Amino acid sequence: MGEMLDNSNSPAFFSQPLSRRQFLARAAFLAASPALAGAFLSACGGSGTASQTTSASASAVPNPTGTATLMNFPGWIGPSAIPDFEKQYPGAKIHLYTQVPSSLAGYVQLIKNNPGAYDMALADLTQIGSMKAADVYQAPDWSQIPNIANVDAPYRAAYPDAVPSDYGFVVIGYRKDMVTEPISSWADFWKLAPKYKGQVTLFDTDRSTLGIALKYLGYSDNTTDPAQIEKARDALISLKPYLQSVASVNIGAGLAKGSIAMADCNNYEIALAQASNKNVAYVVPEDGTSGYFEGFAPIKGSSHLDVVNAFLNFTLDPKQYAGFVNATGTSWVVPSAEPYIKANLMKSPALQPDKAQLDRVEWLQFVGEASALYGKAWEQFKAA
Amino acid sequence: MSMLRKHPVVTVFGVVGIGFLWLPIVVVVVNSFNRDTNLVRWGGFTLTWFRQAAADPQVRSGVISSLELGLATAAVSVVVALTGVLWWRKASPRGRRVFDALVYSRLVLPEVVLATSLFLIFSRAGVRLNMVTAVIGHTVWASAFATVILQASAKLLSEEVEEAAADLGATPFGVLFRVTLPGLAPGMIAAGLLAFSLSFDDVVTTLFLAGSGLSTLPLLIMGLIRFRVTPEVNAIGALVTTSMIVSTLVVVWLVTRRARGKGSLARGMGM
Amino acid sequence: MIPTQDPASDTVADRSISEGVRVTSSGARGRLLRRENSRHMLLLPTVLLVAVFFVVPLGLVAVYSLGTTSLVSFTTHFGWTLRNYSGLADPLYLGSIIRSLLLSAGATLACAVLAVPMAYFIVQQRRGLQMILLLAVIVPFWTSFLIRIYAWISILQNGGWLESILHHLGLVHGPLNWLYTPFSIGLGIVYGYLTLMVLPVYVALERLDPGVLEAADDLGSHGWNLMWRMVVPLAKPGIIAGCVLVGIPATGEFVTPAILGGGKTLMLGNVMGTQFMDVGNLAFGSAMAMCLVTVVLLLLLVQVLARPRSRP
Repeated sequence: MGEMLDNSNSPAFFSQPLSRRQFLARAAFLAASPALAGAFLSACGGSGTASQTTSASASAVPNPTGTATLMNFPGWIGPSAIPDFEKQYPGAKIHLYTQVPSSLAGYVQLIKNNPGAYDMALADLTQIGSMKAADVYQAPDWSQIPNIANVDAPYRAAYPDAVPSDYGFVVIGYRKDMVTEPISSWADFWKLAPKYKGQVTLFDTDRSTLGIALKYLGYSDNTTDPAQIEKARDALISLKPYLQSVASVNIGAGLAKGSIAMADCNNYEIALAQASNKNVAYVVPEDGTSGYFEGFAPIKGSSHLDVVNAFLNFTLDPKQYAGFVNATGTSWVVPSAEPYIKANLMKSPALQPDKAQLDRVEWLQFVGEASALYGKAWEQFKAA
Repeated sequence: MSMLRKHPVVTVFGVVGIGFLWLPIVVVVVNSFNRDTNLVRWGGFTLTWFRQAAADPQVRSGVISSLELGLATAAVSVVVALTGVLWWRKASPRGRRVFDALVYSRLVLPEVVLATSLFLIFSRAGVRLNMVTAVIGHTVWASAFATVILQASAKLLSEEVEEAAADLGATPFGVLFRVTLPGLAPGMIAAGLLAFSLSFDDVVTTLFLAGSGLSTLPLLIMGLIRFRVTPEVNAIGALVTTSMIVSTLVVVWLVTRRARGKGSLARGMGM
Repeated sequence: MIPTQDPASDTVADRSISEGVRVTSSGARGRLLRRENSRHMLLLPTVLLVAVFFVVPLGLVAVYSLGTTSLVSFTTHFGWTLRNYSGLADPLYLGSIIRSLLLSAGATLACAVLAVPMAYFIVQQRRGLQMILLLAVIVPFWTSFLIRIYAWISILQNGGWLESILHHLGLVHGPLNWLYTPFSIGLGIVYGYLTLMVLPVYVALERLDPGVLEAADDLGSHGWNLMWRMVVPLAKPGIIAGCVLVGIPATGEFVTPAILGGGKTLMLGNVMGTQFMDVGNLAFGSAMAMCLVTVVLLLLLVQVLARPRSRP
């Protein structure tokens, strides 16, 4: 077991003999780049390494009051998280808002165009950048979030601006009893789509799905080149005649049920689907794929920051965090929650990618002005 | 008319057409009692989904929000419609044409345009979206529907009774409250009911103007449909559908009973 | 007895008589004018509502359509530019707009094709049965639009009712794939608005002299093709009214494609709404809104021009 790490400020950074975890944390701090973060994940063996960390679940403000609105992807929370939080902090309430757009930047535009309506939001790296550009980003008050120590250091390095919740990457999910041809890449996906017409589903999020289309074409999923983005859009449009739908949830359930034969979906969909049907298989495509780091960020101008910070701290309590993982099936960032995570998730290879698989993932970043191009390309794809 | 020969093709179209209209309603009601979650086979009778819907706090708050929204919309819409129609009755033909344009324009433009335009106004004015903005949004078109109903009702209202009352010494306010308004009462009820049902069931305007804190039943159902397709939705749907049918039939019966009564009274007075 | 007053043509003096006010001096005239003004106050709620929450917002939409929205900072700059409108001419959007309009038009036509025989069927029954059948047509329309459209998901989906029936009948093999297509959206529109088409056609047929219909029926004994050549022209005013009642809302439909389109088939209303709720491009969305308004106004114009000369 490693010890608690606090190497980032140490001047004797490189002079001590390093445990494997210390090496990783240091390199993470040095690199602070998503590509290397991915390498660290693979060195850790994915999300599985436990570490001894203390977890304080009391927040610094004893009595936060008021109702904070959380903008979140539907179902992306432990089922008892809000009731438990409200019980622990009487006077504080969380209102859940889940009618989120399929464009990642769209979350930010909803926040910007509705001042005062939202107090915190689920945000991946692209959205954090977008929030900063739209001036709605608020840094968490770390002094009120002691549980942040529960988060493994590499993830904090990869996602420094808010409270990390999870990460994931896109895979090709398919039914091995229904799809008889070998699938190992996005090229196969595009090739096989006509054959499985009506049983193919795409994930309803712009950067993610445009990202894999860019990978299929051999480009970076963080490109700022308009021509490349348009080509990716056109590649997606070419799939439209064969699609059953463009969906944000229930893809894993569809695979398990057999109504979907082949899907572009996140790895968390696979973990839960495989639990209910052994014929659900997946592959991390050879031609590359996109991945994300995400978490929860406070929103600037919120008048309930005390409730927000208390809630963010609460979500990182190991038991609560495990509830979140068990409900979503996502790869996790809090090792001390592992005793409480379901066995089938602990054993799922979809959640614990090996180095070869992780090397194929390019983590999505905020691309500044070019993010407008992605939003436009996506809604043109939807409208076509 | 009954002497017309009935062509089998026409009969088939008629029967199939009416069946087509009722099919989804029957499907929803039947499936709300269906134990089988795949909803293809009959899995046995159950009240689970109803129990689940009734116990779901989101459903309960959704119903309450929708009721509040609908009642507020109906109240404001009837007031706007009533004042407008009272003016319209005694207006010049040109005035009537202008009034009709004001009403017709709100009925003809797509709801999504009305909703997004109000969203822009509120966003520009820095007004936070909530129940009030939703009521305003609903009222813009609901009051137009209410006005049309009241206009039809007003056309049936005989001027002679009002004039008789005036002759007998009633003040204009007296005429208003003792003759005109009671005469328009069935129309007001019908208008209010229409405004309420349209508002209760509304998706588009509510979607744009409800804000982050208000979740009505239709928004909840939309969310459930797109994100989860639970059998619970069928139970909610069955309840909403049957209560709407029953309440509409009851009100229609009440209104037609009153109207028939009034007609005979006017005839009885020899006017 | 005081003669009946036509409120549209009465003068101040006439109205004073019907309102029971004695015309004495200029004081009474003053009271009449005040009553007239207070009568105009009745118009105030409507005018206020329409001006503030209808006209002004639409004006703002027009202004926004000439501006530019940054998709990075999500603020709108009010330049005077036609870039949003030229953006609509992009083949991707234009194609989407045209497809959407064709879908509405097709659905409206299909609705008419179904409604005319239905209305004719009802008109042929005896009075009592007619009332019941009309109720059977109207009552579904009184129930929740949302629920009725949603029900089609379980009927049309792969593994749903229709598929299993068609499988049993041997008409279809393999997955149905009817849901989340333009077909399912069209079906939803036809279904949702069928009542609005049946009623005007019924009214038009019902007003006809029964002898005319009987003549049509007699001629129809030579083939129902002839009958349609008689019935449809006679029902024409009803059909046109129905097409307007259905066609205009169908053009701006939002809920039906949102539910039955599967996120991959969008109509004009959804594409426009997406700009506001999803993408955040308020300027471009406003241009789309203006486009939608123009289409509706054009449809209205077509309807006015197509109206048969009305009898006095």
